[in-house]
Amino acid sequence: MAPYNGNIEDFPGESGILFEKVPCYIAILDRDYKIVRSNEKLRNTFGSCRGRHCYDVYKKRSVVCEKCPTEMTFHDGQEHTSTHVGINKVGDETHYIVTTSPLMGENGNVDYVMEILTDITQIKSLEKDKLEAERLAAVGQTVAGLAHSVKNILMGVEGGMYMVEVGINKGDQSRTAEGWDMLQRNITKVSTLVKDFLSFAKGRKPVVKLIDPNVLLDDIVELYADTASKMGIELKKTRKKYMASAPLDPDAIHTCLTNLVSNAIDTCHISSKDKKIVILDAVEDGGNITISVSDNGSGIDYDIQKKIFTTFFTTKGGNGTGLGLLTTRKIVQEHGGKIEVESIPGKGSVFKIVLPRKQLPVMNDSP
Amino acid sequence: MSTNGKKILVVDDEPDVVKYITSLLEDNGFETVTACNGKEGMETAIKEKPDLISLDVTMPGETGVRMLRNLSEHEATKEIPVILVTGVDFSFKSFIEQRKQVVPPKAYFEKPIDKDKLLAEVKSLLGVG
Repeated sequence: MAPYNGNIEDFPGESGILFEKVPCYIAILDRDYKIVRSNEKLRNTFGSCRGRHCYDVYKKRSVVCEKCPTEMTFHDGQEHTSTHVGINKVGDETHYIVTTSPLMGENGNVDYVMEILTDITQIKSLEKDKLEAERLAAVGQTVAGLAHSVKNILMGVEGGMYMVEVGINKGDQSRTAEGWDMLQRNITKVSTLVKDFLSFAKGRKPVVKLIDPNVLLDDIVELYADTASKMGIELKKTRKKYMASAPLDPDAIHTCLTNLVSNAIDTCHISSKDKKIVILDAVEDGGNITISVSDNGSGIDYDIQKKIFTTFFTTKGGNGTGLGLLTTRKIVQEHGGKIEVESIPGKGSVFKIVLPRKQLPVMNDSP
Repeated sequence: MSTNGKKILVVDDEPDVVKYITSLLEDNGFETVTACNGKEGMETAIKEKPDLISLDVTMPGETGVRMLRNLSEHEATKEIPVILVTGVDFSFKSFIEQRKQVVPPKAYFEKPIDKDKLLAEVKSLLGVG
């Protein structure tokens, strides 16, 4: 990079006009992060800056920002770019992308850094609107799905009432008993649905504890292996690999695993394979804890894979609420992770919960 | 006219719904056969040759819409009147009426059903009662 002309106090002629009038923010900083020059737009947005620290001007902070691109440029003489949220002079949030360039003196040292900021507040606000619109659309679908589930259950309730009524009128005990069973079954269904729905809608405050993920897997195997075995399905865990404890919400992760394992058992149950198997595994690699649930059941068609985590979706007719995977995804996201699926129709599926250790909840955040 | 001998196929994945509709029909003198998805429904329709079919729309495996199309394409079943009994709301009615490849069903009932209206519709379609 060519050295600047040594004079940052005055840009003569056209370059001075350009510096002042370009439609972005420009500032030149010395090694103390003090602004030695700024252009008109910067001053108009953030207020007077000369001699003030950049972090004070942009963010009203009293210390240098974390991962400061200017600091990096002073350090390595390279350009750096990052996105920030600042506060303008009237106190509104201002989103901007900053690119930092070194201004080198004759000796080759970085004497100053030039910051060029592009305001992206409007783009951010559009992104937010879009997200909100998508959220509302998802709410609409969810409500429609809920109504559908409720209608099916109501039909069962009416059926039960009909059977009881006819049973009483005809003095037919077994009819009455059958109707009563139908009523009980459907009342249970509606209360399960409502509970699932509430826990999904309200969420719960995560209760974070340090725990070895293997312990959670062992619990699940212990709980469901018998049930699975009675259905001709082997539920097991791979050989335990050492893993340091991690800050997790054990009950919430337990819910995720229950959902995934019960889906895996269901899909194995309807498949016609001789040897049906569901395998749980937990590994840590490159700072990511990955918990997986694999099955050799019926697999998931591609077009269905696309919507299982996002909409109120069930292939189980009246027996599914369509909330299991939605809830699972929500919990995983609350842990800073993501959930993925790989599936081959006819062969089986693998659901993976990937939890980057550095994004896990912080212990002292919990009550 | 008596309802004797008239056979109705009830297709729904929900056992309680099947129980309800079959009980209601049997109490009113109809014979019933059942199936729990579109595929089984189609097989039963061909084998049993029912006089009428009560059909759910959203079922795992083959759906009611697919079965409706298959029924209209099969020589043995294309004349059988179909009543859709569904939890899907009525916008579905206009959706399915616009499908060229599907013969629209004779009637729609939204779950939960009005049992007297359903019976009246069944009787009128079968010319009995």
